[in-house]
Amino acid sequence: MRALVAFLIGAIIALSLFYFIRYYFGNPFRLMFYTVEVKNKNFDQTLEELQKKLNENGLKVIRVLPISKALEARGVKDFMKYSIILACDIPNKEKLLVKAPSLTNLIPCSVAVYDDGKGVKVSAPKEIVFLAEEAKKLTEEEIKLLIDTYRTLRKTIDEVRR
Amino acid sequence: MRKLLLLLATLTILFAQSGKLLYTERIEGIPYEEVVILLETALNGKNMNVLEKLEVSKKPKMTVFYVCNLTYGDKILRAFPQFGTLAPCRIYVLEREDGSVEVGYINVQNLVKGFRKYLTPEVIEVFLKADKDVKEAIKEVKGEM
Repeated sequence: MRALVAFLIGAIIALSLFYFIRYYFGNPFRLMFYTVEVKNKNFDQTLEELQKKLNENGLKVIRVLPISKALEARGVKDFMKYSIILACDIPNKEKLLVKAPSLTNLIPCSVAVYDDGKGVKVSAPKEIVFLAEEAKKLTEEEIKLLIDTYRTLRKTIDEVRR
Repeated sequence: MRKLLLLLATLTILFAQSGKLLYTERIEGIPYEEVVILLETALNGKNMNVLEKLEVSKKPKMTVFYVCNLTYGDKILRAFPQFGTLAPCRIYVLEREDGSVEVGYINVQNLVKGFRKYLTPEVIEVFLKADKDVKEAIKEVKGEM
């Protein structure tokens, strides 16, 4: 009886683990992007507050690309409000980028702010896919620096979404 | 940490069915500085507009181009706004120890492969067209076009 219970518990844990991994790794959008919906703020308020918080949390904002305004200037009229914040200008980035050039996609980070008609959303890339490929080239400290930077980025986005 | 990341890499490959994240090409016989100038001109000529050119490192020499095509951006971001987190497209030029120059950017073919199930045929076409434009720009630099 005891063996049967142990087997059932083991099977449930294994199945849960399998479905969790499939849920997380089976959808590339979940794997590559961190996307949240912002509550009680419009697009402009979100954009402004996010820039302020990014700077406060040490993820220096380098530039903001007003994509929807640029498209509007070219005659596109029905595009959602959309801007990209270039941030996360970390120190000693040159060493990292030379060692692992694919990290140019993470540093500086591109944070997308947009209003898709259903609400204001913020998307950021996830570091895990790039790090998984480049881990062999990097030191533990460099990996930690990137993970910490992106953890702070997600924390900052969460502060703004509330 | 490294082992965990390697495990994650295996899981990513198994489930997302994608390959290498980076597409690279080696250019031989042309000095680094010349490659940078020629690539900028070639990219602009393909309407892959260089928004910014950042000299990342002096030794070894490395430059990153931040490139954008608004027409493509309109089509991709309208359907899948999350892809803005990979924009502007980053193309790097890196001088290697043997004197050759490496040019690289995100592997669009593998990106499309990983997301194919979710993307519309129109968006896939735009991604592949952008990839073709960049590859042609690199070919121009090499003098192959």
